Formats: sequence, structure tokens, C-alpha cells
Amino acid sequence: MFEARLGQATILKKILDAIKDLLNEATFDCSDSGIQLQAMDNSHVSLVSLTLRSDGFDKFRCDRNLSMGMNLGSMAKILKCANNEDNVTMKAQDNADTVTIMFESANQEKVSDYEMKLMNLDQEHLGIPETDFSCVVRMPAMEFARICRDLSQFSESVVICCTKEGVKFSASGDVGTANIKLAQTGNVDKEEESVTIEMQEPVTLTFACRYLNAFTKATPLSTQVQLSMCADVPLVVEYAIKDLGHIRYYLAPKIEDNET
Amino acid sequence: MIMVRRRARPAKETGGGSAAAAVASDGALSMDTAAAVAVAGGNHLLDDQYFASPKRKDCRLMKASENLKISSDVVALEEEANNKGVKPTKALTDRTIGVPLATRSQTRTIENFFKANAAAKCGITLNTHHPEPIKEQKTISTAELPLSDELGDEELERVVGDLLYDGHSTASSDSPSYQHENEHEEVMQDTFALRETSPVPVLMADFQTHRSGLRDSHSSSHSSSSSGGASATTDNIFLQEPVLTLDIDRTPTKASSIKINKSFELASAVFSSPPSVLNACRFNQIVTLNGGGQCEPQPVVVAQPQPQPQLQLQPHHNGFELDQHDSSSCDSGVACSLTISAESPAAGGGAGAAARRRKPATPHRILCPSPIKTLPRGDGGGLIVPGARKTSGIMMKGDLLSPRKSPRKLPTTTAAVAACKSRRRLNQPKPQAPYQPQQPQPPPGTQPTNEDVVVIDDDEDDDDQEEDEGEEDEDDVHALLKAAEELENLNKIPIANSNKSNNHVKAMLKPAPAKPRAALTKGGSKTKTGSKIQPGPLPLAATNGNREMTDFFPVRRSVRKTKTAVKEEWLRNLEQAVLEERSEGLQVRNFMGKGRGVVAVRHFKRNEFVVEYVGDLISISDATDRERRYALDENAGCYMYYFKHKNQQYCIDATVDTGKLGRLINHSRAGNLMTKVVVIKQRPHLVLLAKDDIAPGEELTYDYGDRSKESLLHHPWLAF
Repeated sequence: MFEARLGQATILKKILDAIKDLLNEATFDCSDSGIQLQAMDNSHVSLVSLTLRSDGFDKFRCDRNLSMGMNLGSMAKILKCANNEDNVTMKAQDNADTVTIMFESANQEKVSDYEMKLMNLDQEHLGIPETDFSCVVRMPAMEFARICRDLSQFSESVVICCTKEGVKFSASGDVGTANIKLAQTGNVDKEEESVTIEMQEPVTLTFACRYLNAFTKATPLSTQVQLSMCADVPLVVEYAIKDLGHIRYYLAPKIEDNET
Repeated sequence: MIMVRRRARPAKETGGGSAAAAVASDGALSMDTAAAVAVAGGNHLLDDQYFASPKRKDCRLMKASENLKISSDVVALEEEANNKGVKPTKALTDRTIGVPLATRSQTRTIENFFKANAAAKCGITLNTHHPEPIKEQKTISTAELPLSDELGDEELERVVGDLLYDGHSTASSDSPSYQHENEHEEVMQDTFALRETSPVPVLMADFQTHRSGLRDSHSSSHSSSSSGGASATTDNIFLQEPVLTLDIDRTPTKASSIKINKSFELASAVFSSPPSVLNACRFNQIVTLNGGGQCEPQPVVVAQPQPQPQLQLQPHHNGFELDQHDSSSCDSGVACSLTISAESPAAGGGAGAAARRRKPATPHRILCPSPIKTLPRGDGGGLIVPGARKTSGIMMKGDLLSPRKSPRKLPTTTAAVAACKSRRRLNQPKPQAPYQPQQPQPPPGTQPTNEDVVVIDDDEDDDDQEEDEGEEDEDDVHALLKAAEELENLNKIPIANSNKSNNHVKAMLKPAPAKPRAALTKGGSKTKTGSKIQPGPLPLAATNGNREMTDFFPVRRSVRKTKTAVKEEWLRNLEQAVLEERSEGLQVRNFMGKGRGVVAVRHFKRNEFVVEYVGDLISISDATDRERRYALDENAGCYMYYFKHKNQQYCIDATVDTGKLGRLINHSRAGNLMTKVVVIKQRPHLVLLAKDDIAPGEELTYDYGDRSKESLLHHPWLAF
């Protein structure tokens, strides 16, 4: 028996919005420590890793480890049926091939439940090693989304160059070139608006804008985004989900063609 | 449905057929009357039919109302026929292309009538267009005309039916000639079909040509016609005797019938059943499948000689039946290699033998030969002539032992002086009857002569050849499989890359499949400074030039596996173990009183492969043969392992000391091993698995499964 209850359906909605562009279907691995999801997109260029800790739920029960393969499109459809303030409960039997998602309005006047068929997905699970990143940049999520959107007009790839001074996003294409530099913010008044850089050594990496734009779909989840970079290692874009966990996107760097 | 149809047909043919006949000969007026008659007949039949099948009862009311409609249709038809008589050419031309609405409504009534009564329809077409032998015969009806003139009434009906059918293109197997008797929906569909076909005259030629083929493929549905033809031509040799079954079950004629099967696709086990129309039809079908003409003479050969031996075999049959019911699945007596040339060796043998076996507790068993025959059952066995010893699989375990043999003591454990005179023969596993059903293809060029049908013959060269053939076959299959696997593997790489870009894939698919792999590895090991791998075919946008996550993070195979995956792996492992003749962690040790035994030197987990029971895989008849020989030799020991796999009885003979450990494992009723049959390259292998966790130092034992009193008498250790 698996049962997980969240106070607000809106979180779940946002989470799904954040992943459904990249993934068509994914397996939710439920254990007593929480729900985890890891999946690569079709092209295997990016990877989504979602962690929802059990203690973040209003109620969480998972007697046996359970893998629920879901069509995320269908799941999103179901979640559209929920009001933002509704309680949402996911339920599944141990060997069931369906999951039940129940929405209860705040005053319990309206209860709707939806049953969705589960899928048996044969997906590769990647072992992600712990990495000491050369650069870790924290910046407002909105800012990052904006940068990605803007730069994607110029080129399909963006170069992220991180130095002690700050982080520079640049793109160059037929139209011309674009550079956006962010310096570390001195004042720590508003934490959510600060830009912080932890750097061991400077890094320059090239990434596909398309994926970065897909990642920024998670912007509503968090005020801050954390970019972790290391030479020849995928970029990690992490959005924290308050009190619940985090969603991490991994993006493989492009093969650089500076010398050609 | 089918039942109903069959029943309804004869009545219909009398009614509808005669109606059609009348129509053909008479004019439009008589057509009408004939139609009425036919309709009446149809009503009657409908009643009959619907009454017969309970499912139809609910439709009866509807049907009745429809019948009313039909009669009204008849009236409409009359009028229409008159119209047609006035301006037949115009109607014709009108209908050829385009089908104006007006004429369509007209034709519709006709079609309604068609659906109601096929016979009447023929009449109409005839009547309306007979006066016009115009060359531009474009509508169905006119195109139909010359044909229908030539053919008989019945044929005509069928033709029309087939036409309906073709246009329909659904696979319903109803014979169209009596569709008016069938349910409403179908009728409706058929009208549709007709309407479709009528404006498309070009299709007609196709229809005509298809017709015969269609009838063949539907010959079961058209059984009335085909069977009628069959009964008419009694000189046709096929149809004299129903020679058909594909039943390869354990009838005594099995071996031979298999052979026949292979060469002709028809078996010969149902002589006892009377020749029935159905069988004849089936036969027809098969013949057509085989390509008719060529095969035709062959069955003659089969059919003729078969009945005679069959009589002789009859007593055996009884014996066998008894035998099988009485004895367990693994009884050696269930041999099935009978030959046609069997000289009917002592019917009593089988019957006598039938009485003696007892069910062992385990599914497989090692039969322990008993040198002394105490039971008076050798009566039949004694009669068996050496020449005939292979003819039947009657269990002759010890039957041939002459009564003069004096009782002996238990065989003492001495080295296996055993291997008798014909060691060479023993070592040769013969590919015979038991294996043949598993071969994918029949040996080419087998002819249905008696000599060839004899499955086992003494000629060893022949056997060798056969074996070679068999192995070649297996190898071929294997090679094919491997090739397919490789291909799949190779394909995987481009597929993986396919995500990168479609263009990319196209480029990848063309060059040798090794290339993409190289590209991948190159990409993986590439450092930042590297340049593009493939300058040419990488023009696609988004993912172009991007690396994949899998280049950085290793794919973690889930530790958890599904049950089936685990089982598959386990089986693969078993196969591997057998193929490399694994026998690790075992040690031969001498036990007091028992002789040699095998001891585990390492830990074996439950269900783990321990060792294979290696020996010669032989057929039952061969086994009985050998057993008789071994029985003469008191030192032979118990190494004949009988088992049954996929309804086929096998024996593995490990009497010859090959140094393999499998044969040395001792018996215990509470053993720590169990046996399992694993099929590798289409040969069953016996493997011994750990029944439980086995600690080092434990002796390995398993249950031989022989519980017969006699064996116990001679091998008292079997009791433990």
C-alpha cells in the first residue's frame, strides 16, 4: 500500500509542469524515504532527477517499494482537474497496475478521485557519482529563465563562462552575439535575489539552449536556481522544492567546436 | 452458426436451386413466381434455423418482419422488372458509370431482393439482360451473364455468391449461396458490397479470376460443392479413404506417421473412422495447400499400404493403451517407434508387459536393471524375433532374457567391465524418432516407401548421415539466430543515436555498422579540445553535437529483476553450464558398501547447477535394446535414465564410464539434488540441481525414482 498526501495540489502541478516537457513518461520510485524519479529525455542528452522526501508530505506511507510508471501527459491532465488549494493524495496498492489520485477541497466538500493506469517502463537508471564541482552558481530562478530565453534567440547553444568575477552567458549566431554577465551581488539583503558564486577554478562550457529552456519550466517551484559546473561533466541545474525536496536537471555539454 | 448452416443447406439447395433453374429457363414472370417460392423456402428455413440455434431466438421476430418486407420487395421487383423490360439498354448504360440517384434507387430494390434471395437475384439478372448480348458488359449482372449461361444453376448461385463475397472482402466464411438464410446484418453488408461492385466494372475480371481461389480457400464453407464434387469422383484416390490427422499423439503408429507427416503434411491414423464428407474436404484443402498435382501420387502410396499394417498393429495398440495408463509417464514402455513393416511381434508381449509397471514417485527415473527375471511375463518377449526387436517400443526391459537364465546374486560393485561388445554402437546417440518432431524441417527427399518410413534401421551409416543432417539443421538454425542477434545489436547503436537527429541516423545506417560504435566511443573519450567527430552528416539543430548523459553517468542496472528475467538468466546459466560441461566443486569418493559417490567440495546454493547427467541420448526402443544387453552383464549397474520431455520419452544411457561425474551420483530417496530437463540445441539434457543449499563435504544424492518391486529386490539400496 502506498499513500502520499500533499497539502497543496499546486506543488504537484508545478512539478509535473517542470518535467513533462522533457519526459513523456517516467517511473516514480516510491520507498519509505520518499518518491524519486530519474529519467533521461528521449535523446539522452538531459536527465531529470526528482526527489520528494517523505517527511515533506502531510502523510506518507509506503509499505513496499513501488515503481509506478506513468505517462506524464496523462498525469498532467489529471492534475489539471485539481484546484490549487486542494489536498492531493496519491494511492496505489502494492501490486496494482493503477494509481489513484484524489483531490479534496479544503473544506472536504468536494472529493474527486482519478484512477490512472500505470505502465511498465523499461528505463535505464543512471548512477550519478558525487562530484566536486569547480563552480557553483546560485542565482534567481527568474533571472536564469530570462537569460535562457533571451539567448536562445541568438543561437541554439549558449556558452557559460564562470570566473571569479561573475558568470557570463554568451551566444552567437547569424544575428550577432549576445553576452549577459552577472556579477556576485554584494548585499545579502534579499536572499532570493542574490547571485552567489563558489568557484574552485574557472570553467567554460557550452550547452544547448533548448534544454536549458526546458529546465526553466521548473522556475515556479523555486526562487533560486543553482548551477553546478565542472569541466567535461554535465551541468546540474537544481531547483529546490521548499520543504519537500528538489528537482535536478543534468545536461551534457556540447562538443565544443572552438577550434574548427 | 456453422452447424445451422450445414443443416439448412440441403433444404435450400432444393428450394433455391430449383427456383433458380426455373428462372433460368423461363421468362420474367416465372422468375417472379420462382422468387416467391424461394422466399417461401427461405422463410421456412429461417424458422428452422432460428429455432435450431438458441442464440438466434431473439432475432426471430425481426426476421419474421423482414420476411414480410421481402414479400413486399417481390412486388416491387415485379414492377421493376417490367420497367427494365421497357428500356433495358438505358438502364444498363446508366448503371455503368456514375450510378445516377434514380437508377440507384431502382437497383436498390433489386439488391434488397438479392439480399433476401440470392437465387431470385440470379434470375433477375438473367431476365433483365438476357435479350442483350452486348459487348460492353459492364455491370455485374451482364458480366455475369456468359458465365451463368455456361454453368449450372448451382454453380450460378455460387458465382453470384462469390461475387457478393469478393466485393465484401470480409473474411466471413459463410457460403454466400444461402446468405439469405443468414442473419440480417450480413444481408445488409452484402447489399452494400453489391452496390459497391456494380459501378466498378473493371473489377469484374479480378472477381472472375479470384473466384476459384476464393472457393478453394473457403472450401470448408463451400463444402457442399467441393464435397459434392469429391463424392462424385470416387475414382480420386484421396477421397476413398480419409487418411487424415495431424494428430501425432502417442498412437502406436507414431513414428511412421511422423515421417509421413513430414513428407506430405498428412498423417495416417484414422483408418478406423468411416470416410466422411468432412474428412474428404479437409483432405482437399491440404492437397491444395501442397500445391495439388505434385503431391497427388504420393498419398496413394501411403494410403494403400497403411490399412494393412494397421490391422496387425491393432493388438499392440491395446497393449500400449493399457501400458500408458498403467505406467507412469517415464515408463520405458511408452516407446513409440513403430514401423509399418512391423511383423506384429507377439501381441501378447505388449499386453503382458502392460501389467507390470508401477508408478515411481519422481517424474524421471533411473531404471535399475534386474538381471533376474522372476515374473512369468517373458512369454510374449520370447517370441520376438531379433529382426523385429526395433519394431515396437513395447517395454522389453528384460523380456528377452531366456527363461533358462538362472537367478543371480546382486551385482557386486566392480569396475565397469560393463561396456559390452558393441561399445561403438553404444556411444552413438542415434537421431531417431524421438528427436525428429523437434527438427524444424523434414529431411528432404524422403519417400513414402516402406523402407524409408522405417524410422530406425540397423544401418549405422545411414544413421550417421541422418545425424549429420540433423546437426546441420541445428547449426543452421543456431547460426541464423546468432546472426539475427548480432544484427539486432548492431541496429541498437544507430537506434540509440537516432535520437540525436534523424539525418544522423540515415547517415549511420548506410555505412558499416561498426562505424557508429567507433563514433560513440570517440565521443565519449573526447576532451574539451576535441573537434567535431563527424563533419559531414551532423546538420541537425538541437541535439547536434551534444553529448549524451550516458557518456558521463554509467547506466545502473537495477539490482531488482523481474521474476521472468531471473528465470531466464538462470536458464541461460544452466545452458552455459551444460555446454561447457561444468562440474566444479565435486569430488569422487569411495563409500563403504556403495562404491563411488560424489561429494560436494564447495557450497551449492539452492537451485544451483551441480552437474549434468551425461550419457547417450537414445530412443526408448534403443534403450530397451540396450537394457536387455546390460541385463546380461551383472556389472553394468544402473545408468539408464528414463525421462519424459514434452510428451516424448527419452533415455540417457550413461552405462559407459566416461569419467563424467553425473553418472556417479548415488541414490537416496531424500536426496539433495533434483533433475531438470534443459533443452539445448533442441536436445534435451538432464541436469542435476541442488534441491537445497548443500554444504561442502555433503554427499550428493538424488532419487533414482525406481520404485518397482523387482528393482528393489535386486537393488535393495533403492529403498533408502
